[in-house]
Amino acid sequence: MKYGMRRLIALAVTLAGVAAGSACGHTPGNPQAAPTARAQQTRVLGEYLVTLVARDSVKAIVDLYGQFGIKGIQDLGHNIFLVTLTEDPGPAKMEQLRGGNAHIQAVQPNFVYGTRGPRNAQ
Amino acid sequence: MKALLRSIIAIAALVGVALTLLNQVAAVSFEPVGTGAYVAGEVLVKFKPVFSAQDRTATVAARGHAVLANLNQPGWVQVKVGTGQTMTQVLAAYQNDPSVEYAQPNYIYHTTAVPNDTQYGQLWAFKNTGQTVNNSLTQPPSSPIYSTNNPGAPGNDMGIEKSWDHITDCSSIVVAVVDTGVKYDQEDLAANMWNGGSSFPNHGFDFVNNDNDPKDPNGHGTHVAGIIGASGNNSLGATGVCWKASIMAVRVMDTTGSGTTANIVQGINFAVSHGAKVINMSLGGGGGFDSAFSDAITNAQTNDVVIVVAAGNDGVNNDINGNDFFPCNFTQPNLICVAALDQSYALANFSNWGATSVDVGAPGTNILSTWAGTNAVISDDLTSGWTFATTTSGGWAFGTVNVGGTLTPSLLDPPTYSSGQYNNSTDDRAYKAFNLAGVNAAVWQVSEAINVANGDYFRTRYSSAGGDPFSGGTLVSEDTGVATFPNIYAVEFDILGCISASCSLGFQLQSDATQQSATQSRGVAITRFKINTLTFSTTSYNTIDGTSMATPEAAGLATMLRAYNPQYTFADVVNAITKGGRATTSLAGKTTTGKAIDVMSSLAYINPPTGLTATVQ
Amino acid sequence: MAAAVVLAVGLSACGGGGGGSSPPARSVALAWEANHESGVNRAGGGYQVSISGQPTIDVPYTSGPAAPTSTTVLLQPGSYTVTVRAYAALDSQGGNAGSLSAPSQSLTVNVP
Repeated sequence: MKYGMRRLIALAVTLAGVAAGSACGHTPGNPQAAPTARAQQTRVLGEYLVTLVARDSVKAIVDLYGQFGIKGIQDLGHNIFLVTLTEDPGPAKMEQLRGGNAHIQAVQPNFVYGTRGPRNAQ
Repeated sequence: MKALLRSIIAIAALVGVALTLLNQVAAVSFEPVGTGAYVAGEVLVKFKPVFSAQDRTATVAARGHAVLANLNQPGWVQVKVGTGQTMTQVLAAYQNDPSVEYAQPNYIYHTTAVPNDTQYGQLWAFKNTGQTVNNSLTQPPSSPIYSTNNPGAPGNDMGIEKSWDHITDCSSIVVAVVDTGVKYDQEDLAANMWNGGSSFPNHGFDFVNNDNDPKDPNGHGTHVAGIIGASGNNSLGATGVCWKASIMAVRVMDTTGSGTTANIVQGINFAVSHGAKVINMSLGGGGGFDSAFSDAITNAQTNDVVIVVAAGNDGVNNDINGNDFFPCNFTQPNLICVAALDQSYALANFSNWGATSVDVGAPGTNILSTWAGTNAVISDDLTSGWTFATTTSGGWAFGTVNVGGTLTPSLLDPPTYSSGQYNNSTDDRAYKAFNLAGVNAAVWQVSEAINVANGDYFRTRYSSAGGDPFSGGTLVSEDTGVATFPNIYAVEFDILGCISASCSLGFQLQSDATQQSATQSRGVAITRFKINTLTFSTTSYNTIDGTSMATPEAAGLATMLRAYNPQYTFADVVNAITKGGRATTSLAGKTTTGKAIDVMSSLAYINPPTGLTATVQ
Repeated sequence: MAAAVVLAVGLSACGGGGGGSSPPARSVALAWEANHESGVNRAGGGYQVSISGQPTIDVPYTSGPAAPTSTTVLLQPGSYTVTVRAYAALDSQGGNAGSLSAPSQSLTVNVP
């Protein structure tokens, strides 16, 4: 996977029944807001890292999580994909849906890290 | 007859004594030479005073050796030895010669290397003379610095100067700075950046913008890089642990110093696959166990890469449930987690610690290093100059909020904030324009308390064209169904897109017709407003604190160790750093080792041999 | 008579020997993994082999890319504890007083 040639995988599959995204946090018709960078926010809302068992199972992501509206799937290498959702069901729901799926090895939030603590120290 | 017998007995006794003495001398075993870097093929011999120069020459010649010089000390000669004998054998032979008083190698001595960098006297981490670290080089200028134990206690430093007699060039080892990027053309870094060839002409990669330019718009990564490998002895600025280095810039943190698992994992894997053998990550977070991040560290371990990470700056014990700070709290054996020490080697008041999660300490207060440019701060006192607009009544107003016992000027919506409610069906806006012309990076910092009901919205926007940013500007954040009162949170936004002579920044509270509870519709208070700007420069330096600064000192040491010992594995490096450190009282019970890193001690550390076998034949 | 006395003295001074038969000493080949420190593998470096009840054996670097990582000793029948330590010239103060590693894990050698 060459860096700099990373692809946002276009969704050729028709996302039938994808929710328009009326959950808390979004105004229908408006672009999704950049998440508020709160001190207490430890993950990026709507973003998950999905690890596939096999690289050719990206469809499994769409099949499983398409109900939340997939805005993008980015290949990070090592069978890991960054999935951006229109509606964020929460990590517990994401894991619950994953359970037993033969194509998806793991799903987790896209956690947030920083170079600074709450003090002035770097 | 009796006289003859007495003579015989006396002679026998003398012979016996002589033989006994011979046995005693023969029993002397010369300690094997772990004793000195010395001139191969030469020894220094001190003969007993009774033996003349002629005797000494003859004794030496009888062994097939030659006298090179008579030293200007009675009895001492410099001897050229032949081949075929080890130093131990030669020395043992001379030592057991009855004409010799003492024999030793001809040792080699070095002067202690001290670099000529202009700011070296401020680098207490490398040489603590009890100096006062000043704020003459801070960004923004004259910023306050860590005052506790400044000056500190002399001698509390990394013990690095002696190591520079033995190695200053670590450039054979690529060290990756996984951070906010690196100002790779900074005057003290430009010569020490990784050569990524035509594929990576800017010495690394930017996973925030997904491009080939990991230039640092924040400064943090540049500072870290300088601690590891700012050019040493070039009559400029600072020096790093390594005077010469090969620093790979891997940008995974954005302008505000924030990054995600996705970026970090890509950054680690990039560093590993492009030859880095040491990775510095002065970053952390506590969102929970991050499997993808952990897997990336394991991938690095598989590829024999040492990863050095920061303990964190919350002043807490990382070992306590709920305080987990990753990546420090990961447990892979290729990971070293570093706490921060002040100038008297007390634990810095902001430094995290952990008897099982944090490994060592290193200097982390008032650390001077390279920086990405000049900083400036635009502070607004939130008392005037703002445009307020509303579609109903009231809306935004100037007011005050009690912040930590102090009435603080604030922007409030509604004006009766904390006791009142904002209007239904309202669109309230507050905005103001700021001149950001000429800067290269800008971070908008706001402290806010937000209570807006579900279906109502609090938004921030900017417009580089001035005017109302809610008419055609760029959305920065949007919140609904949030209740933070009474807590006030500091948030930061990268407003690169607003850099202009008239950057308008604004707040909007927009509500629908639904009547909400008083608590849900309490409103918004903006209690602090700042814009931090950075203007790129190749000659900037900064003095700052953090476990972020302690970490690259250990990473620099790891790089030096691998350069000095090309056969070293990650396990050897970790052992040399953790076991070769210096016992430090403030770290006892707060780190796995109770030690501060000590460069010279680690350089001289020798791992115990392994794999011992015996075969009886 | 004088010569006989000297011979006797000489014999006693050099210690005794001879007497009844004992099992022959066996040759024991000791080997270990090479250390990765560059100082161990150049002039001034090497290994020390400690065998219980025996003088320490020095295995210094002589030439080539690495110090030797083996030695052969003669041991009488019995049980011995063996450890190896590595050394180099550089000391923790930056001088040449040398550094010595901690011992390796010990090995029990039984010579029949």
